[in-house]
Amino acid sequence: MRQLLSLIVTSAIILSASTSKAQWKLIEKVTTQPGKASIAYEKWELESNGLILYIHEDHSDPIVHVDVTYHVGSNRESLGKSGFAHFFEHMMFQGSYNVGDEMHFKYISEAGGTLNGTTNRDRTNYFETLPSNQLELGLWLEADRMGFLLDSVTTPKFEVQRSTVKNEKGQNVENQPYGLSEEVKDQNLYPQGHPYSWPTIGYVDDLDRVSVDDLKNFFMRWYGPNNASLTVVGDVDPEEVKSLAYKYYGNIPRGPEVRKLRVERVTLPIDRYINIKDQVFFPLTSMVFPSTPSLSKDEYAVDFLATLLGDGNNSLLYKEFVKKDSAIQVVAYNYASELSGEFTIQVYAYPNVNSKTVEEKIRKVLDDFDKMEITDEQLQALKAKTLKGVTSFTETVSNKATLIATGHYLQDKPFDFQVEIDKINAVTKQDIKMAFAKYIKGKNAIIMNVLPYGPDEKAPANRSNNPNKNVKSNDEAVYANLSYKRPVDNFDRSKKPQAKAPKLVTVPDYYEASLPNGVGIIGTFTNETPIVTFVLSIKGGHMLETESNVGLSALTAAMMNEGTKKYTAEQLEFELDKLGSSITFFGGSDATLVNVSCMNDKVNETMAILEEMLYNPRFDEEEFKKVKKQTLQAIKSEKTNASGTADKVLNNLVYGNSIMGLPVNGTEKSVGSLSLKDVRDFYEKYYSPSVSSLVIVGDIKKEASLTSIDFLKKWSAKSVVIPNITSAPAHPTPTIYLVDKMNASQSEIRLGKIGRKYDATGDHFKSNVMNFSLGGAFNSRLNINIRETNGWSYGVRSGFSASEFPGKFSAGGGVRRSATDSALREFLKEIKDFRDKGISDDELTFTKASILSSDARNYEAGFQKASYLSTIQRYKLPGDYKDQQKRIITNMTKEEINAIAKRDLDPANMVVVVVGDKFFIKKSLEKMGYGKVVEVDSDKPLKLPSTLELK
Amino acid sequence: MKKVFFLIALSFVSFSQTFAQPFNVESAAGFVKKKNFKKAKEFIDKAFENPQTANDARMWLNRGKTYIGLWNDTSVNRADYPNAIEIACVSLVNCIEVEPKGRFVEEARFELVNAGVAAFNFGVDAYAKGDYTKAMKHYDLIMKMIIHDTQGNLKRNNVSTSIVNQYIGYASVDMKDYPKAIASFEKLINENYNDPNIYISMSRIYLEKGDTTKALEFIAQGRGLYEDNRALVTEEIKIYLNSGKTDVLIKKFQDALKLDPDNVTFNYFMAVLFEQSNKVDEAIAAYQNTLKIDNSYIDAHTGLATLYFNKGAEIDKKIKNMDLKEYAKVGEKMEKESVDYLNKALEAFKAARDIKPKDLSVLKNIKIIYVALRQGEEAKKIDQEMKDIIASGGK
Repeated sequence: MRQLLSLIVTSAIILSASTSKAQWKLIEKVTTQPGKASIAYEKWELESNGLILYIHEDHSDPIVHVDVTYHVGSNRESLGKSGFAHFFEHMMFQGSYNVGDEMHFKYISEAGGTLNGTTNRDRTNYFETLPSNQLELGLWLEADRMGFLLDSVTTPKFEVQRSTVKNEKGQNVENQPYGLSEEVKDQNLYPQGHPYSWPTIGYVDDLDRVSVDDLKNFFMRWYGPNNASLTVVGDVDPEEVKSLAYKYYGNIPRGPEVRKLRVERVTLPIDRYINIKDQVFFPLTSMVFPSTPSLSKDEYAVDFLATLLGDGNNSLLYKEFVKKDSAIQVVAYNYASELSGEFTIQVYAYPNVNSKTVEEKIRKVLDDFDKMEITDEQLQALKAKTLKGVTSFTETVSNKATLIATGHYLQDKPFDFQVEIDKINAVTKQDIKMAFAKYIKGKNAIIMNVLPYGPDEKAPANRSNNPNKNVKSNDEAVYANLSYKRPVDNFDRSKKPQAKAPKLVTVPDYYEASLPNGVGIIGTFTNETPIVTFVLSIKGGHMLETESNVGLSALTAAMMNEGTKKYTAEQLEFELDKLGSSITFFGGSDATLVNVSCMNDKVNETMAILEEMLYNPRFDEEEFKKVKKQTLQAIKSEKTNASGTADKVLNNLVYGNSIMGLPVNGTEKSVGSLSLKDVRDFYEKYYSPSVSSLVIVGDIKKEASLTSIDFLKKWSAKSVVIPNITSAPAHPTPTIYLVDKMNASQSEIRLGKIGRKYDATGDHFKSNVMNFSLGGAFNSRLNINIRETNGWSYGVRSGFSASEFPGKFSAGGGVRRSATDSALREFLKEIKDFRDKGISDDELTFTKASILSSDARNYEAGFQKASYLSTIQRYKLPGDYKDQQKRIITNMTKEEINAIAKRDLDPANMVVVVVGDKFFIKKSLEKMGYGKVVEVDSDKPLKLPSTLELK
Repeated sequence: MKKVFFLIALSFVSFSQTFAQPFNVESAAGFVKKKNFKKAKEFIDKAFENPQTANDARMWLNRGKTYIGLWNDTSVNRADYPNAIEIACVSLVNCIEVEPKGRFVEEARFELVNAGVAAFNFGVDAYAKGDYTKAMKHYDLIMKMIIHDTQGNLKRNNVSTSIVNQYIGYASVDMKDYPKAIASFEKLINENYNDPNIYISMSRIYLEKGDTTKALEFIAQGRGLYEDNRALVTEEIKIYLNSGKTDVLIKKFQDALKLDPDNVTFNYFMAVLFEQSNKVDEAIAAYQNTLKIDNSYIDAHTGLATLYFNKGAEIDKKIKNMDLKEYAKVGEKMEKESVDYLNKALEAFKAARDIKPKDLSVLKNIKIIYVALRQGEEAKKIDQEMKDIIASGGK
């Protein structure tokens, strides 16, 4: 009997070694047809454990995206146990049996990849984009945390991540204006016990109560391979993918069966009102109606309805609120999840507008929509805009993988793009009206008002209120009889896979040209998607301003969007929408940028509109008043954003009285004094081809692209002199500049000092190489210390920025309020240590490997290609500058890095800014002994003499 | 002169008396402004008791503000003013009704919101504590206040006639005031109040009154509007279960399972119904389905085991009644079939034992099966196990 048994076992092994195909069952194979937009894929099922594998080949770049999506989100949690799925997202990066603590990030970075994980109500995904020769690394890592995670879930790691998650909630939710409104809305929209009624990030007291065992049970119940899809998209060979996937996933046992979640349709017996207070400037009124879930037959009609109501200048809500000066912004959208949808209308009113009035006006708008006839042109515009958006989404391997994986958990098969396009094209005006009647007209809604605190009103300590804190979950049966058995392999899984030889990374071919009037042109052809992008850069921008008119460049750019002589603002937007095109002027820190995007068959019509906008801006007085008011209100509201405030104050301290020390969108005083004539003068004086350059990327050949911009030849050149920055304030005495933000649950810390101008291969470039291990990556010293080891922050970084003008070194991030002084101490310590003791051998290896290998990812999307070309054009770089950079990195030594650190991390002239609730943090900052703590008002830029001469 | 003086003195006294009453109201108003509600109460109570100001709009307004202020003042012990809300509500309504176009109306309407919300919360709290009379009193008060809430501010604080009617309905049911309950719920149904629980409540009222037909009508009405609502489905099934209409029930459960195939209770009841209707194979499938959803459902294990055992026993009985000729043809095969069923029954009972190791009825059945399978030693072990449990106090 024994003999017979062993014979059977041996032959089974031989059988499995000879062909992995026998383990994979082909479910379906979809190919692309010419003229169709379907994403081709193969779908396989691993018979031993139910894992689904999708493979889509894309050989346009030497990269691969590996995605594992588990069909578990916060919707599988229980009452009183919220936040588990998101908590697990954090634990999944803490190592597994064969992957050391924090090593997941390090391996991916070192391999030149990027990675992340996200959790929503319905699913959790983990993914990385890597150079394609690192496919096996991605598969190995994901398999290890699918099958071997629990071995490394320890109490210390658990505690640190619990703290990090709480920080994340503090930083991204509680400390953000309107941050808690989602949580409150969900509590009221969904009945208690509904899987969408608690926040995905969880309640803090639930997070405090959870034990390591609770978490382990959650993982064992929901994270089996039979509840997951593995999606591999990119420069791959399907047979190799299957073989490797079988190797790494084949021995992971099937998990418990997961049955579809079923919930009742959400009904609201009556309108429900909620009023909450928050650190906001603009009161927000939201009206939320239960609507249709993802991929329902009504979804596109509902989306179109939302656009007509609240997207753009021609929408009804815009006309009622923004145009009539009672709100700064309006939004309407359908937030569709797996189990239900939420049709949402939001109005960000000006402070003097009563919320009751807002609600009445929203209802009036809905009545108006009920009576209105949708025109054919409107329908055409809706479809064109949607199709363009949907098409541009397929540009990257990561987006395609997301579409495939999302389609899988929603409907057991990937999105078929062609089916989606057909659905979009099939929507009729009647469909939109029917959607309105079904979900909105006469239906009850949640009406939520988020109102600002009074000037001296203190926020309660705990603003997030858990309605389930005393509820017993009764989920014992769900988690009964679970046990973990480590999978058994017939190979050594502990060995990190060796990468194959890297594929050659080819930078985009490009062409250059120039026009007689000075416009420089650079472009590249790519037909990965039928989209064309133009970026026109008119140098100067904010740099052309003075203290008295700061904000003028941004205001002028904003006015360029508000119509032409031929078109009002609304007509202009409508003409673009009909084409599915977009043109946006934007006033930046050193240039005005004009971003143009369109389908390849709409280039000429789009360029005609650009010509009209560039040469014949409308500069309407009424529009100017509206835009100016919006700008002023936005400036006033900036105080509610701690991160923005910290950046603003840092700039002021680093650049002092120069224009770079003042905010790009201006101050209340400066913008308040601007007139339409100032805008017109700025346009006449500074919008010149002599300081302009154009980048063209997309599905258009050189000849056609140059023809399309022929109109630029008639642009008259003017002489434009852009001032330089030659000095900055000195900061001889260590000082902490404190900006009080009452009720802030997190503090924003910034350290910075004046830097140098951009160079591609000189000191600036090398300084960022040096910085990589200090604060330029997840596994850098700053982040590992402050986030991972101490659990004080959701993430901190450092880096050197630069342009034609002097840049700066900056380091910082948001930290837990109670750890403000400790975190600042660690910032200073790490910077000092790095400067004094230098980089380690491991860090140098990590830095080189990470930066060199990441180049494969740098040319995938249109905007990345545009960025590459723009850099060449802007700084007049040779085409092989990337190769030069690679050589420099390869040859950099420890000594060179350390010398750069000593020079560039010199604490002389370093400034420290902290934005937080001074009641809680000032004393501890004073006790640090770093220097004086000086309170500053972010609305009143400091006047600092610029005594430091810059080279 | 004396007479004049006397007349002057008299008029002064009456003037001062006249003046004293508005003075109480004024003083109360002043203390309300300073948020000293206890002091305000002293003066406003005097004004309330005096006939000259007892029905004065301003008095009513300040009485309302004083008492709602007392209720909301965290430094005050609410237990000292148990009727504060009621007094506030009545006062504010009176202020508006006494002078509907008076100068205090707007302010009274404004204060109505605070009082109304407080009254609603008080009513809900009282209901939760089982004091239905008090709850009802406050609901009725709110209904009077809502009439005067011309701006809809109470509605914006989630105090509306619909919501209050719903609460009145529930409280009336608990007080067994069915006419009032029916009246409230009917109002809601006529308003298309979007809550399936209204139909359940109406159904239960009619069940109490012994009218099953009417009860089912309301369920059907609710199901017509909320076809996927589980509570309605469960309610319907309960009614049919109590009335013993098994054939109708099977169809109801099948419909319910279409909506909610993973509902373990529905699946289990389905199995029981099939069993009662002698549809054994269907019953086995339903028990198996129940266990797929929840493997810890012990009644499903024992139900399944019993069915298997009975099948095995039935075959065994047939074998015993066979003649030799027939036995030669099919006897062995049937014996094997019988043993298979017994073994399945054994597995199912063992699964039940894993869940409840000390359940004597389960152990007894296991012993019976071992005996039937001629596994005497195993049967003895079970016997001993049962004795040990009994000896240790188990039943």
